[in-house]
Amino acid sequence: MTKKVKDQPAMKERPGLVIWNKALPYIMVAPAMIIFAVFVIYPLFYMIYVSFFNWNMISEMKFVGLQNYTKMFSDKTFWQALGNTVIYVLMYVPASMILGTLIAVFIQKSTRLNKILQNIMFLPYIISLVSISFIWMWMMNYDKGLFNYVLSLFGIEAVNWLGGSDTALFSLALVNVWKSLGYYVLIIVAAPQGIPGYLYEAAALDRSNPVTTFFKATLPMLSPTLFYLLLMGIIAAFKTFDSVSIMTSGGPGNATDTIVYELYKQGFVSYRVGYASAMGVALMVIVGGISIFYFAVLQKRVHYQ
Amino acid sequence: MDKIKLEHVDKIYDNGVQVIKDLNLTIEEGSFTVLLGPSGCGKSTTLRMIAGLEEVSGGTLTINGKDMKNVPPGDRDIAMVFQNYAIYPTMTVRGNIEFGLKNAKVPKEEREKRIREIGETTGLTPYMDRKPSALSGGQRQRVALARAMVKNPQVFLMDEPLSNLDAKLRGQLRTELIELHQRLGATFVYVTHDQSEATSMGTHIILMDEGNIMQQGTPEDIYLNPDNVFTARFIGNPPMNIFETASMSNEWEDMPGVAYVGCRPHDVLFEKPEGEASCFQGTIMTREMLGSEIHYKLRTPYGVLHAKNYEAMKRYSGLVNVWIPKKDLCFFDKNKNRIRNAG
Repeated sequence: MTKKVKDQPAMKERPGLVIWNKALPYIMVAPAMIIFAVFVIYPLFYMIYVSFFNWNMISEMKFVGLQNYTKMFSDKTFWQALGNTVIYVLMYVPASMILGTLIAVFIQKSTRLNKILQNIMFLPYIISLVSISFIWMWMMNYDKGLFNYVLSLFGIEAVNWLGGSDTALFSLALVNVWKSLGYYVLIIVAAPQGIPGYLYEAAALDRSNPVTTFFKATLPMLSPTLFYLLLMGIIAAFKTFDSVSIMTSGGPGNATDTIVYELYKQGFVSYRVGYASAMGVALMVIVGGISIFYFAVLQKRVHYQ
Repeated sequence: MDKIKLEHVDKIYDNGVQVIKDLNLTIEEGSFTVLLGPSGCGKSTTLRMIAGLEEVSGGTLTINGKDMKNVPPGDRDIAMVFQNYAIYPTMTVRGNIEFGLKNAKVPKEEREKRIREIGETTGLTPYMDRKPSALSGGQRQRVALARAMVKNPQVFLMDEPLSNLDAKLRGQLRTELIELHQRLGATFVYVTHDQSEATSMGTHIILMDEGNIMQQGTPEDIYLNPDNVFTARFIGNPPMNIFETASMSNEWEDMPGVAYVGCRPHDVLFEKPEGEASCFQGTIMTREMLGSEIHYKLRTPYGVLHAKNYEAMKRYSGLVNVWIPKKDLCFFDKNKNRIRNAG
């Protein structure tokens, strides 16, 4: 005999179903979080941990407290590497941003030629930096390189691109700017498409010339994109390693020794893993500090729609 | 005096589509001219050609007798208010209003004086240092208006400026625009698809359809004396009742040249009037009480008939007789053009 509807108690969710519904979001993100924890969080904390030890990956770890840090702060090589890295950042980031913006503004109109140019510009970005480094190394060769050959045609003296202490870092920046320019151009080309056309019409009615329109209308609207590119550029520049390792090995002298390359040398060539970890922590603090400062100071100037 | 004149103007887009063909229209100085029509009729395109935001493919466009070919938008002594305000989101209210003046090299003292006055006129003084994101829709539209007014232009162009506002604010700003026009005495060219907005604001209405002018005149002319079926059906709420005479077995069927007959809903009477009137029966389908007026929808042998009545206390229902005074009938030929003096 069936009960009348009004006599039946309200349907309750089974306890198992309630637990499942609550756990489901965590289960869904678990794979990504596990990977993140294993490959990012764990190594990060382990690096901080190891920085308080002397260790060569073979013998036992020996606790030395802050010794690695005091050694690092008094190490001339560390400061030179840090200085080189800062100079490299100051060359790479502005060049990428300014050239990327100018080229993007130039080729952003939707014409067939511009579409072809955009595709060509992006090609270096998808080629491996290792391959690019070898090719540029050949082109920059002092005796037989293409660049010095072209200079000789104009009667200009050959440049020791990778062998001169005052040109080597610039040469590395040049290679990396060339490689990543297409990425900057692609992102910046897409950004103005989010800018409403009526703003330009209003500017035309307000007698605004192209330069004023660019600085007062276009650039502020591009600020979220430029903000992202600037921060990513700074972080990427601080992490430069591949081109240094292949093209100059940190030389001539320590002219192109960057912080990550120095860290690599200490950890994987000299097997001073603890000291290398201390450098890693220093790099993390520097980049983290720049990021915090960046967000605190610059973000308020960014206009989000 | 003719303020703006378009003669034999064509507009053809890059893909070859011609949206305006041989358009001729004149906008008088000091008028509040409304370009009215359904979406895609070419009214915004016409306005944008006047503003210089669209190129004129053929013909001439003159403002104050001067040909505007190759004259940039900023040099036409016009100001425009857009449907979506088009205010610079990264500038403050003050910055938005001041931008055009700075570009025009207006001295600082003069700029500040004008901004102060405009702030008081538009009620924006407390909001001068705010950015658009911190303003309501109505405030943003006032910023757009203030930016236009501060230039003291001879012509104000407005492209559906009230469309994005709620009904109450729309009504409020509508009145303010009418007062503004009366105060400034400038020429206003206003684009809208809303016929009640057009008839309430405009001194002169240009009704367009598919790039052509269907009729132009005062709001009274357009409403009471339509030149064609399109105008008759577009203007008025509810629109004019139009019936094909071919399906009617009454005196209208045999009238020479007449293919359509129409009457305004308020001319449909439920009681026999004095004078000559046509009469037929209809069944009341719906009754809508709208305050001072009541809308009836009737099913008749000739189709659906809309009637507007002002007697709130009377309730008509079921099968009723309706009368339409003959003087209030409009006759149209097979091309849907008005026949005057028919019958």
